[in-house]
Amino acid sequence: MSKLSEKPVLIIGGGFSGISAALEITEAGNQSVIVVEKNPYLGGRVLQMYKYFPKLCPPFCGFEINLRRIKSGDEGRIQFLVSSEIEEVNTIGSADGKGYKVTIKQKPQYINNNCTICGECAKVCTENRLNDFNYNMDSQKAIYITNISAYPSKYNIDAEFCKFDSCKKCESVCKYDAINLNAKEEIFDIEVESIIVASGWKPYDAEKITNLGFGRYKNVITNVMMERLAADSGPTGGKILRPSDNKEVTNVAFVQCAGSRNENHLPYCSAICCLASLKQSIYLREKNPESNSTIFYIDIRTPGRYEKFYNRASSDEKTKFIKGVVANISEDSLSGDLILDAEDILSGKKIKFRADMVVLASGMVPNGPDIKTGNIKFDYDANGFLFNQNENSGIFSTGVAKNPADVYGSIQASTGAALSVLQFSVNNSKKG
Amino acid sequence: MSNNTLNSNDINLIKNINNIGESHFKKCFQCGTCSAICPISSDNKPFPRKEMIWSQWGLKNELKSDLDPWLCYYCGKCSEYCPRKADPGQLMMSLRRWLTTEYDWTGISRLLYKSKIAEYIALLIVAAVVFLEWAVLFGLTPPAVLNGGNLSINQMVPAYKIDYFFDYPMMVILSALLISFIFNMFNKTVLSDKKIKIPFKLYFTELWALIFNFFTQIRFSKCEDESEKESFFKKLSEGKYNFWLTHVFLMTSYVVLFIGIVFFLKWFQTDDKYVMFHSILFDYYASIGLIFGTMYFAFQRFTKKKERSKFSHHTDWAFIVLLFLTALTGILLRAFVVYKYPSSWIFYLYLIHLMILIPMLVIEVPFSKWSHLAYRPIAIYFANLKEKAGSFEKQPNADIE
Repeated sequence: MSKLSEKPVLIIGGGFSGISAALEITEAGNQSVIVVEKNPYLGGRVLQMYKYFPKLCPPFCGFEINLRRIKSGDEGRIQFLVSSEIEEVNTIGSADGKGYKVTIKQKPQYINNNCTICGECAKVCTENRLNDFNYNMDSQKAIYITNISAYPSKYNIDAEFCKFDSCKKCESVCKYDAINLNAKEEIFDIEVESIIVASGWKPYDAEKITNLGFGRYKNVITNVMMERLAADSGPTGGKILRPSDNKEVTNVAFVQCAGSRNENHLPYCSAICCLASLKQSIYLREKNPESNSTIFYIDIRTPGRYEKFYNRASSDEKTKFIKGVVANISEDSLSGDLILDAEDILSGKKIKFRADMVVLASGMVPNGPDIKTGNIKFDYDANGFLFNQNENSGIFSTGVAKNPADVYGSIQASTGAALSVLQFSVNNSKKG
Repeated sequence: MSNNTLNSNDINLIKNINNIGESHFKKCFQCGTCSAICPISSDNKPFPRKEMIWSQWGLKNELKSDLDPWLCYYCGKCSEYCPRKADPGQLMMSLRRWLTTEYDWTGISRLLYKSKIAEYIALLIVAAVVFLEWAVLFGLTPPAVLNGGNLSINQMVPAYKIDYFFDYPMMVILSALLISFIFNMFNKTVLSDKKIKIPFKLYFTELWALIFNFFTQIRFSKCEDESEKESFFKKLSEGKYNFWLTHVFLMTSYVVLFIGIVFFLKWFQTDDKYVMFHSILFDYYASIGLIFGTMYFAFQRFTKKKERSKFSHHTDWAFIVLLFLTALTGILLRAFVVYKYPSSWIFYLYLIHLMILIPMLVIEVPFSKWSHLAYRPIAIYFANLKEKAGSFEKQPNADIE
């Protein structure tokens, strides 16, 4: 094998895609990687899932395997920078292939690796913040641990809510000297040979779909919120209770293509929402055998092997499928129930459907275009995906940064991106 | 209706519909947003989703027998919310144009809708006929004045002659054409549906609704029923009914004037400065209605803010412009008479007035946009007949493909 470059590979995003790419690169050769993650933990969106399809196992199951690979590997060659964001990207030299100088900003690390997550600090903390991991459905202390699988495994301080010097209660109660409230933000440069964009996605802002009432009606939630409601570590301890009155839901409507495949919102298909709703329908029915699930769809997209998953969901007698987009949702303000307007296309009649709670299958919006890149242009497509562009100059993409994809597809894309990076490096060293 | 779907599909029809409007109906993926969001389509037989697929597939029989395009008043919600930007509202407009050409057995309206030039030529031909008729009857110069005074309008152009040589023949031709087209429509939409038998009595009991709908266009107002919580007066004060009310104003003005000039021309074409009270009332109402109405709709079509005014077919413009010019020349003529302008002015202006008015009526009323004045209320009447006859209850899936 040719000698690989000394310069590391920058991976933007420490979600499943980014971690997978990092592991594949380091396990295949001698190259080192730097993973930049804006959250204080690794694992990204997947960790916020209750279960993932098609096997319906909890996400920490797959995540632990990756953690073990990280720990058993040559640790010096994978560096994780959490709570960090890219400030600027510049080419080194004029020609392609010399690599990039990347400026990174890391938020103050108030808590060091001494932390044992004993939780004494949070007990004395007086301030509260909204729990963004649970999509703001509950709150937590200003010194908090993001989630049960958090890696690095330590607490965090939300600088927006912490009172710092005027309080310092956590600092005094910590037995392990893990808290330093004087920590400062750090800005530093690194030099990398190539870049993998694994910046993932965010859910589409469902409030923009005004006719579906998200944000106006409490019991209209999004699919990502449903995952947290169902999760044992979520705001309701794993019971699917509707937000308005904490009543256990028995009649849930899933509204597909909430934003996706809609020229007024996201013109593309987000690829996973059908499977996500089928999954949610399955676990809703498992958690509560009395419950009813109704899925409103344009067409159910379960390509390839996933057809079986559709068969599994649709074989349930209390799961109904209605072909027709929900055009409007209104609220019965007394009961908090929701009335959905649609045309049932198979019968050709308009229907009004009453549901306890509505789950909007909101689509995926790529985070890529939010990355600051200075004078380097990443060639995003019209929808913000970086699909096989800039590859000649050593910028690759994977996961949902590349195209809407499920976990399985993202990991495959990461393996592909890792190989591309290695090939790029070999070709580069030949040139050099 | 369900067993002839594939052998009735017609590729030319798809092209035709494409050419007479600006709907991107081929983009439709049948999600049903349009039907569900529509404030006026019925629960049992909603539109326009089914019209979208019929048009995509060129299902002529289904479309021909469909009354729903006439029940749509183009509030534009379907187009606004359509996830494919396929513009179902515009398709319904195109279908109204297409149906007009279907009901018309002469083929003239097909020509007029297809080509702007054809429409202009048709208008010019009728104008030329009017000109020739006038030349024969009254000559091309005002009659000479013996003692230097002015001749009154009725001395030059007697009202009875206008009645006998212009109004009545036109009236007969228009009525004959329109009635035959409406019968054609009846045949295609009601008689063709073998599943329904309409009790004879129903034709009479439903008549009142026909008249009511003709004058109020009450369905139009339902386009604005967005939130049921708001009262009628709240919506009125917010201007949500402006379009509907202006439309009613314009339509009634037109009807009043049409009846007036055809049957009571003497009231209008009078040499007296002071006319009878009721004719003043009608005169003013109609004049204001026509001028204000046409300007309002022209403004809407220029600014393109409302979904229904975004695309204008050439027949839409011809309709507004000719109506405005008719009203304008009519009002001027009256002013000339009242303020004693030279008789030659009156003579020529009257000729111009007729050369605009008559072509407009002859071309627009049976063959073009104006036919909707008849087709819309009659479609509601036919739809009521069919519904009351119980066809929908007996055959719930009859119209669904």
